[in-house]
Amino acid sequence: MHALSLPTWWIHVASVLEWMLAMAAVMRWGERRAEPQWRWLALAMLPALVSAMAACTWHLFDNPIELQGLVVFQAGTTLLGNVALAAAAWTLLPERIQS
Amino acid sequence: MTVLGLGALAAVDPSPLFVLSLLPYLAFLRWAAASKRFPPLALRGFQFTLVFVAVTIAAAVVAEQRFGLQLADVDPLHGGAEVFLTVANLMVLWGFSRTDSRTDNGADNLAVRGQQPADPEAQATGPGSEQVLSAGDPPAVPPQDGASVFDPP
Repeated sequence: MHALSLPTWWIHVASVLEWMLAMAAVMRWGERRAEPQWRWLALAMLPALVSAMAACTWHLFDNPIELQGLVVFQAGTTLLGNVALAAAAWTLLPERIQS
Repeated sequence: MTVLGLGALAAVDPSPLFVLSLLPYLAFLRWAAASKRFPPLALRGFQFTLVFVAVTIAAAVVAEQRFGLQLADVDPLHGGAEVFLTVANLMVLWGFSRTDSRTDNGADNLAVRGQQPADPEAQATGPGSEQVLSAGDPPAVPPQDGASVFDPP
């Protein structure tokens, strides 16, 4: 775990924690407004969290080529997460929110 | 590596996946903005994530060309790029955490004054309909022309 300096580790940990808290904040945001669509956005943020975990695991083992599969997994979950985010934002479009 | 079945995955080049993932993200940003429902700071945070991506690409090129290493193995470049994501995520978190956003016609402004959140009916009548002012508070809404939403049509 020494491929990353302590400050760089903290930057990673902070990003992940912020993302998790943001998911919770999106849930509350939707509840306050009584707009259930926001739950989909919170859920759509999950693949990116998984992606981040994969990246951090790879860093934890000092970025070895043997764990290159983790990087591919991270790329895949990033793609999946971004598709999910787009779909969630689609449900929030004003012309769709009436129904 | 057979652990986690990552061996087969390792043969795949991740770069096209990362590039391809930009397309749905741009669609996300477009629809998020078009919805006009996102807290402005959070939307800017999601947009700022693209700055992180750009900085990461530039840092990866520098790591490769100057040091012959992958970005994750050049710690200052790695940390310096990732901090942009930390900032972006902080904006998203802050944006969705704030209760005094001006995104929905003042309903939140009422809430932040310690009142019950406005119900949809009250919200439809606008921010001035439920003013409760302490002594000395200036009116939150300047006097209008005398017309009221309560007037019969």
